[in-house]
Amino acid sequence: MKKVAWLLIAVGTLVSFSSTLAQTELVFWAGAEDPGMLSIFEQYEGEHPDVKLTLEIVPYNNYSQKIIAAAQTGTLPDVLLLQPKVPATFAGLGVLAPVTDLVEELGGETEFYARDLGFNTLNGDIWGVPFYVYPHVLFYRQDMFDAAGLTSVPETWEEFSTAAAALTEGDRYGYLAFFNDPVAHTLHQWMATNDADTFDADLNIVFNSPNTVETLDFLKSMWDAGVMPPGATTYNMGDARVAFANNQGAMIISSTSFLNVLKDQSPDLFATLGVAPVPHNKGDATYYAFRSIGLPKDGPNQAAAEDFIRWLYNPDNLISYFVQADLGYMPMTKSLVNGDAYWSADAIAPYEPLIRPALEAAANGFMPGLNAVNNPFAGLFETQDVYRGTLMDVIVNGTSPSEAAATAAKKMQEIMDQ
Amino acid sequence: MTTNKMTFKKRRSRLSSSQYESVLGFSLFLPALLVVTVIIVKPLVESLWLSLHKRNLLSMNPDPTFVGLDNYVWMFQSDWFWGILATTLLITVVVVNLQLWFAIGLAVLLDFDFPGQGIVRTLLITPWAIPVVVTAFMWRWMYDPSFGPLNYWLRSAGLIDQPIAWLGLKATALPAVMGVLLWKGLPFMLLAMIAGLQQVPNEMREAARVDGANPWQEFWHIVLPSMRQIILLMVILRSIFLFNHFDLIYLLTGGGPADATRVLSIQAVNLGFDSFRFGRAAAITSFMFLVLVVVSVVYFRIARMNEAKA
Amino acid sequence: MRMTFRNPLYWLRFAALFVSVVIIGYPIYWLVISSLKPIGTIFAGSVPAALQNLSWLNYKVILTDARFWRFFLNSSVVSVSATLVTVFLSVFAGYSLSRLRFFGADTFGQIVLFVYMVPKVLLAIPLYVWMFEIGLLNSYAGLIIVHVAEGLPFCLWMLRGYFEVIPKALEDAAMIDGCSRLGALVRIILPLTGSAIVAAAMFTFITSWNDFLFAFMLVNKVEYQTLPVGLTFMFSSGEATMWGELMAGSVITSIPVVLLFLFLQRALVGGLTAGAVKG
Repeated sequence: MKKVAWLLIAVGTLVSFSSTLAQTELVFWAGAEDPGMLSIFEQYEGEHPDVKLTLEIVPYNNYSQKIIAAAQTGTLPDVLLLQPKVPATFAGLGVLAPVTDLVEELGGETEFYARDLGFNTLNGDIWGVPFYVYPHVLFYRQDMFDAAGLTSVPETWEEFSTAAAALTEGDRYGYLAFFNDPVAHTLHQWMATNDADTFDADLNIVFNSPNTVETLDFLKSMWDAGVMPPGATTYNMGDARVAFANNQGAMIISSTSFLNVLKDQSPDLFATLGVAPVPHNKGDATYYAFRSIGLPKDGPNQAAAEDFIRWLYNPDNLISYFVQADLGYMPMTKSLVNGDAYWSADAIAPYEPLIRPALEAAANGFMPGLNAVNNPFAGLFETQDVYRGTLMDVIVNGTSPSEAAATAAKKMQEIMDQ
Repeated sequence: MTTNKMTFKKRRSRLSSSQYESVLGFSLFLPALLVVTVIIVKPLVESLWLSLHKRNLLSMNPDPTFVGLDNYVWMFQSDWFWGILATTLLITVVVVNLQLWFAIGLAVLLDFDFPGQGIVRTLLITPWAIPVVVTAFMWRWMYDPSFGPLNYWLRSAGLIDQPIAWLGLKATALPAVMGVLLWKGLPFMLLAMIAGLQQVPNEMREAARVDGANPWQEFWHIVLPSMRQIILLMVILRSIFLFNHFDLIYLLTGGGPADATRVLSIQAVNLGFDSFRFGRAAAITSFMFLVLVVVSVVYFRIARMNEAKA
Repeated sequence: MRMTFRNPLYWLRFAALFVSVVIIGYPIYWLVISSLKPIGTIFAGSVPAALQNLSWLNYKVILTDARFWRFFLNSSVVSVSATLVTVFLSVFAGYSLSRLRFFGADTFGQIVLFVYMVPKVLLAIPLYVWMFEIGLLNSYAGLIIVHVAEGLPFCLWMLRGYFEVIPKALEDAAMIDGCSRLGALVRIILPLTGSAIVAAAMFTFITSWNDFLFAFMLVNKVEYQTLPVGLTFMFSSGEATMWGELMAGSVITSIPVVLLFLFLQRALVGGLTAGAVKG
């Protein structure tokens, strides 16, 4: 009996061992939950029983630091979602594997937008496959507009501040700005529409240009005019969004991912919700954010990971993802954006009027510090609080915009020199 | 029992009792020592070492390179250091004092039997029980101008016209943060003062009363001096804690607005985890530690001299 | 000081106390009430903390979220383990410091305070790197051992103070009767130091349960995250701050500690007393 038992155990172990040998496990890092991804994994595993996909959530705060730390001890995942400024920084550090060939395979410039690819390129190679985008747009309350007698949506800066003033009443504010987020969204949202940038094509710092100063001035004047809630200096984007969803203001500028929040928490709001591009001044780029998919350098499962990505970018599978992903996360491939399949999907169709203009505006995307030329410094300016610090300096300290911009430029230079 | 006796006698015959004591003592102490060494002493030494090096994980050369006291020089010469140091010290001194006096006052108030004493005590302890994250979120909201109770009650009472963004204005942010720190730390101080109060010998108080002292004199000349030891201890403990404190301030304001509430610990974390300049971050934290050591030594020496005099 | 309720000063005292309690307690009252209000009603301009529109909605959302229970479990495992280990270690260490002569005993005793002076942020970086290298990041063990180290200085110092107050004669008598030292410790001393141990346990538990910095730094992955950081992740991620649920989660997170304190507060004060005197 004993012998038989041992034999059975041995065979059993061998069988399970070999089956795990045959199975490849791919670990996928994302910073937040992604229901779309989970269902895609299921689908993929169904079609490829020899692969097991695991989603590991590594919260986005300090995401970069965690990736660097993982790189140092070789514990990077097989596939990872990358935040916008990251590809450049990490490529420089040798953390990622280039995906230039993969992107070519998937369609290169025919499928992807030049700007998006540009933001993922460093030193001639592409380091991330553009995955989903969520541009920043103006959300407004049609009912409040009607009540204030405003017949059109602001399209220029002047129209915006006039509208904001008209919409401010009592404890309800015209513009729900927020200054206390680490990324300094508010600054970038407006800089994009004023042709103001951090670097020029030769990597000289042009942050303290007149256009930037003008942007800071614009924000300061609205702050002084009282069209923003007094708590704006303590709000991050999440706080401002909640305020908007609860009738505390008439306008807010945020990314399209806000639509998902509204869908879950205040679906009634959709009846009077309007979406428009951010009012422009001297420029008309759209500040946006996106995620790319990246591969670690010398990853052991690189071939399997690439297979997964190829499969994912098959338009049918991609649509399947987007239909189940959070509303407001939108595709970055031309076949989906220009085709019908995505827009006619049940989950997307009702919201088309709201998100289509945003997506089309994203073709002219703006990424702080990376527009002119890709570089590893833009991310640093953000983590070292230069952008937010400048904004706070102007709003809270009352420093003159030109002075604040000049100080910021100096700080940026210091950071670059280190 | 018999087995015990036999084993005991056997062991005893091999070592002398003082050697046995020594070994036993050390081995009982060892686990604790080990944990403290590995988790506290080793990183401390590493930090001190790291502060003498340059280590930038984002540069082309991420290995540490020796730079001597450069990081410290950079720190002392920077435009932010002295301001942040001042903020840190201000918070420490002000909050500890406020905590101390409020706690003593409350302890004296509580020093009598009344129904529901247990419940009241528990209520007064709750700020300590509540996690720091909770405190931060709670107070961020309390201070909010649009929907926070503080502004609501102040406006209702007619004390202010417009809501004030307590955590968003330069002038009010620091006091607001100090208020939260005071609220959070009061229970611990209160517990200690209650304990200290109970230690005051009753005979002395009775004697003073017999001699005709009024409650105030009794308090100032008998009670307070008897509590000297615990007051001294709590002041130094709380000062250390506040000087080093990170969690609550970071969660409340992140150091803002515009660096109004930035303290040394936050600066160190920013340098380390956001900018990846670990050598410099280590310089700041090492400085914090060394300052505390020096100040404590001085403090204790002065206290000892005062006690010798008294 | 004994006062009867006939004495007007009694009532004055009572009033002053009442006011203090209200001021200190209002935020907590408001926290609880807010947690019972759906987010929309909080903004509605009604009196904050007024008792209207109460509902359990926020609690329902949290208690049905599997992630919350995971965080709760993680916190429980870490805090209970850390408390047990710390008490265990500090009882033995405190006893040995107070009773037994061994090499360096005096120095170690004095070092305790210096150890307390080390800023947590100073430890964070080297600990992160070290735990990373030995694979203790994202694990219970890593966090537990850090919490133990956090609680040890205070507990050790307090228990040692307590032990020193107990007369040696008691153990000597027991040892003459044939008890070993350890036996004397367990049978005679420990029962007498009940309240100090309770104080030490409570202190460690609260510190561990409420810890934010180390959980934040040393755990990146969601499955091992503890409640304080987990709450932030769930409801304050920057996408939208979910105040109602956050308040409800906060209340739930605070309950264990408050309950513990309610039952053990007398012992806690007693423990601090004895420890403080000797320190």
